[in-house]
Amino acid sequence: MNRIFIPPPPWRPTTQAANGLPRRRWLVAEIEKMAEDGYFRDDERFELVGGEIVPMSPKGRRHEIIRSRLTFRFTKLAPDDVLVVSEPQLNLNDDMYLNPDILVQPATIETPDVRGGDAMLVVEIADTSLRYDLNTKAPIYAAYGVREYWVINAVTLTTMVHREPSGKAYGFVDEVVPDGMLTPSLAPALAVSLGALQLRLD
Amino acid sequence: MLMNRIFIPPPPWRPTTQAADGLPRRRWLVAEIEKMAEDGYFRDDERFELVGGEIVPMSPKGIRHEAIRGTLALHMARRTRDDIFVISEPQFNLDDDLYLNPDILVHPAAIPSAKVRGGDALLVVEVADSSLRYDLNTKAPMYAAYGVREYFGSSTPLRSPRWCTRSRQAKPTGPWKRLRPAARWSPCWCRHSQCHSAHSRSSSTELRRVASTALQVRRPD
Repeated sequence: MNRIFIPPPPWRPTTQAANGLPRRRWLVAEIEKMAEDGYFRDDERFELVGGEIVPMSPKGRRHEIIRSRLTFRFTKLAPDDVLVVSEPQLNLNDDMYLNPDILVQPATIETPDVRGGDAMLVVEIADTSLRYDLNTKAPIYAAYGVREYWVINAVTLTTMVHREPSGKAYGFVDEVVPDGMLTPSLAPALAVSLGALQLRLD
Repeated sequence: MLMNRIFIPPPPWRPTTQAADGLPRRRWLVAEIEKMAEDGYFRDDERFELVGGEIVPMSPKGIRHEAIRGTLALHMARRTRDDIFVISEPQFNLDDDLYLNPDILVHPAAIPSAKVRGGDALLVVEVADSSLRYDLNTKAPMYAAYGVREYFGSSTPLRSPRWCTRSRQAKPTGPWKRLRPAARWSPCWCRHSQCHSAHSRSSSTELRRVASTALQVRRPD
């Protein structure tokens, strides 16, 4: 009964009406309270980017196949002290959380408590979101100290490997071909080649 | 209930954000914002407008702004017929994802202020201190798009005297008419010959004088 009226789909086009104007900064704690209070639809998925609610675009078929297969392989390879999480809420700051496709973290920390510097590897799979993942998210992950960040192009299966965060950029960026070996520097046991996963993408 | 209240950090507490400029952002509805206010998501002294589904905090008003607004509102209210209502800083609901807080809204008294829509408004006044560009470039097109027939955006006369107005029949894209501080003006809605003399006819020079007096009264030094 406390639930807010939420119009049915196609229901809520996003907005950029206040581009260039100062906008209210939401905190993670407030968003979590709002979710409890029923302000969001159950299927509504978004990230909190510097205090702003940015809805996530729907994932395509290739994206989901790569994400699930890679998560599965990582999980099998992972030693007991390494945790592989798919689509976690990665809390980077009190006004910032992102939902990376895969997070590799030390098993000693609970996922909600993981901060940028704790992450061993963050993977984003880009179908339509390549520019967003490379131009917007990479600086964010770098700024919060994520030490290794992969962007997998779901179309070409090439991977942009980012390492050595400093400021809002990565000092080391390398493009790895589909059959190339991807070795997380902080979790070398998870070394994988996308070509070897034998993905049936179409 | 108090325990249900969200933790809100103390001031200086919440710098605004433009972090997601250029990205699509969630569109809030007026109904949701009102529910959130009830649920204690906002500080009592937090003031903002909902611009196309986005929460845009309002910049603090200066003493000059407040003196002009108060004087002008009083001036208009005193000279207005009983069937016309003058309200200061209303929540002016223009759409289900848009409300603005103009400095003064003049509307038919028959409609409750909360139900007034753009086409019902007789006059909207914004007094700008530091916000002149926002008032002229962002707000004026919004008011025009929602059918507000007359809009005065003004810089505070004490700083750089200038009055701006749109005429009643103006197209939304029509040119601004700039009025000098000493120019007399009257709102379009009081053009009836029988009440012409009784109606608000004013000049911003007069307002400046009154406002200066108000400032002197309010300033102990």
